Amino acid sequence: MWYGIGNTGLPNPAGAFVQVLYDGTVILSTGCADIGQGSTTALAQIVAEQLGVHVDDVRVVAADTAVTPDAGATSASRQTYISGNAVKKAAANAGLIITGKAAEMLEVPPEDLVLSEGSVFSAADPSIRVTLQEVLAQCRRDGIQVLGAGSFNPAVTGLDEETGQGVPYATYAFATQWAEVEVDTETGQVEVLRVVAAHDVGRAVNPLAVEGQVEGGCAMGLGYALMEEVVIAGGVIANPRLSSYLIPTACDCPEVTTIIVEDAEKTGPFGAKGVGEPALIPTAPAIANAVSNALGIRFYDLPITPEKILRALKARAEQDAGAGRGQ
Amino acid sequence: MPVLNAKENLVFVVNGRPVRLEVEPDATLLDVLREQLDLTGTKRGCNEGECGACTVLINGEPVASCIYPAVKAHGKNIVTIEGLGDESNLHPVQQAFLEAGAVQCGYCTPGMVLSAKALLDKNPDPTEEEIRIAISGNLCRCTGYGKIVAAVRAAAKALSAE
Amino acid sequence: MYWEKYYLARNAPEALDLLAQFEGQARLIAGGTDLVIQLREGQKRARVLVDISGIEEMQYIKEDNGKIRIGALTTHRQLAASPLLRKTAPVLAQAAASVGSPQIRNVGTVGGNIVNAQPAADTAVALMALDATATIISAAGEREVPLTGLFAGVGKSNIDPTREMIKEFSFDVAPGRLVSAFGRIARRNALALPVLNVGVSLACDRQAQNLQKACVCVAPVAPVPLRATEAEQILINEPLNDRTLRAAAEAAARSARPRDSRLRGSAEYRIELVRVMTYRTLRNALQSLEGDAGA
Repeated sequence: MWYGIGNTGLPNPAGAFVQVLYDGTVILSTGCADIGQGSTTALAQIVAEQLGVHVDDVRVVAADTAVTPDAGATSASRQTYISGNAVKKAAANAGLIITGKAAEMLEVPPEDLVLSEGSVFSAADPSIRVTLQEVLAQCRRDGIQVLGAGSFNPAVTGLDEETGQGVPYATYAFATQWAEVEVDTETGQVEVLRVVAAHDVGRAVNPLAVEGQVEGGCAMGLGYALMEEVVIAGGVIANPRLSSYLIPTACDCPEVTTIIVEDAEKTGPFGAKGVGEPALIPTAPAIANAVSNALGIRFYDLPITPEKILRALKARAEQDAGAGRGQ
Repeated sequence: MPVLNAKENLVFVVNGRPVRLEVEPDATLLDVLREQLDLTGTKRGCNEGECGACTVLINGEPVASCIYPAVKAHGKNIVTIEGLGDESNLHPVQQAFLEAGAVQCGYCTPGMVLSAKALLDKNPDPTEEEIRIAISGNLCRCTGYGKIVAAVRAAAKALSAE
Repeated sequence: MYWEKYYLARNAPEALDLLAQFEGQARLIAGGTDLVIQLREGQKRARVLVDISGIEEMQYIKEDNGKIRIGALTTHRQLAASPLLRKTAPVLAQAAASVGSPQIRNVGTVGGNIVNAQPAADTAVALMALDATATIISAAGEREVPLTGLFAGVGKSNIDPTREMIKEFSFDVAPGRLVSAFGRIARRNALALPVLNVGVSLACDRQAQNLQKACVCVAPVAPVPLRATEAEQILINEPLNDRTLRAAAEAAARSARPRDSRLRGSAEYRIELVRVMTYRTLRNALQSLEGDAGA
């Protein structure tokens, strides 16, 4: 599977503000809404990495439309890539003030300086250094605030109305998933025994969160493959409840083995891309292929219910019987 | 008093604290916990006993509080997520959920943690299947359950080491 | 307001008194896991609820003179965990373990499951398969009704919850040996209503050569849980072998009259499941017999 990151062929920028307080606390302000995927943590990690501070020193003000800069929707698998770039730029701009002040203190050109592990030092000679604390103290004495703003908009074009050609996405996620299933040919029940999911995420900012996204995506994909269906009757949803629209329980989900592939994306923050939707998309096709591999019958509509399986098996048995008579 | 009637005082224990309060006759336990006792850690999900977000422990057993008439709780011992631990002093099950990455959006988490606690209170060394059955009444849309199962296993270890 | 008054009864006479006092406007509530939702949605109405779930003397599972007796307020969790039932009537323990979720099983009662009268209710199928009898009490006294006579239609039982209550269920486990098993197909592995339930119990002599009695119950394939009597006759009259089991399963499938259901699947599909699951459940029940014999 390959899947575009961000909104298709449309500008979809995100913005961010970063301030480094004189005590070393970093305030990150971002409109990015964390709906459980862990973006608040990942964005804090990106800022910490950029400024060479500990992630615990980064406070995130997120998704408050009254005060935070717009980051666009948490959708289209875009926040790690797009807001990630925005917060990285904001942090880098704040960092320029730090390296600028440190350059005065150390008497070296600011572009030679590196921010890492709470210090500012010369890349050429790391012994030429000053602690971040000292630089911030100097900023305070000089009345300089350490602020940075950043925004990022992926390099895309609109799509040609005639040909559909263009650059819809700045980058793509790649994934392969594998499923092992057991099919009861008398009842049509399918048990998914195991899923292995390999995902190129560019760079895993937070590997535990990436695994969480992948495992959750596989569970959604399993539901999509085998049981989930909005039934519409007379224009009305006939199963609008959790008692009639069934999603997988703990007893339905298999063990998922996640393989994180890190092929750094040049335009991504520290190489990162996205993994939201990509985690869910390959699962249903993998399960459908596994069912077809088990039965030798292809299914073209989801969910692949036990009833559809039994009907297909019966149709094949009748066809085989018919062919047998013809010989 | 032979029987408890509408509007009469309901007496029960919530998180170790005796509570006496007047409830509407058709209030559910969830209504009372959230609206009258401000214990909003217990979530309202489907409101029909199908998702487990409203799970609380009644006399040690997980129960769907959204379809449990409040008056039924008279004389019983209720534990909600607030009764387990707080930010500075997490219960071992909560700590295990945190460390395993078993929490994503968090909506199922209070109920999930309580179902896990109820299991481990009775069965300190559960099999994977026993864990999955114990949390089968708690739907989770984010995690795929794998890290939750791992967290319960880790909590079992942590609790037995205590 | 869904109901105006809620009473906690401490014993059965008190509950019946309250019902009498409110002259049809009060009804009993046990676990309430179905009833609360039905009242909220207006499928059932009651001005007054009389809660009987706290009556502890109606929660028991005991063996008494070749009979198993189960108090109507026994919860599904208690049924599922009962060593006595697991040994003597696994069909009922397995059925109870299939109901809803742990949260529902902790509260819902077997009596409530029966009075609610859903045609596929797990414990109803199991109790039908055990040829159980219900003891019903009211101000007028006590009466015994076989489970087969308890269901009047979808969601309708022959028990008037504004006047009567079930006291207990009982079924024979002696003489000879009783084996039983439960089979279930649902749309997922937990917390799902059944697409098909099969309960069977087989009573045989000590040598397990012939069946003295066979009960096969399938649901939901009719408005009430269905005893597959033709299948039962085949099991009793034919030699006990695989061919007989298959013939019985065919007979059960012939007797099934399911309707097409958007959620449960087509009639054709479910008739096929009756055949497959009846055969498998019979085989499972007999396997426990062989296991016993070998031990």
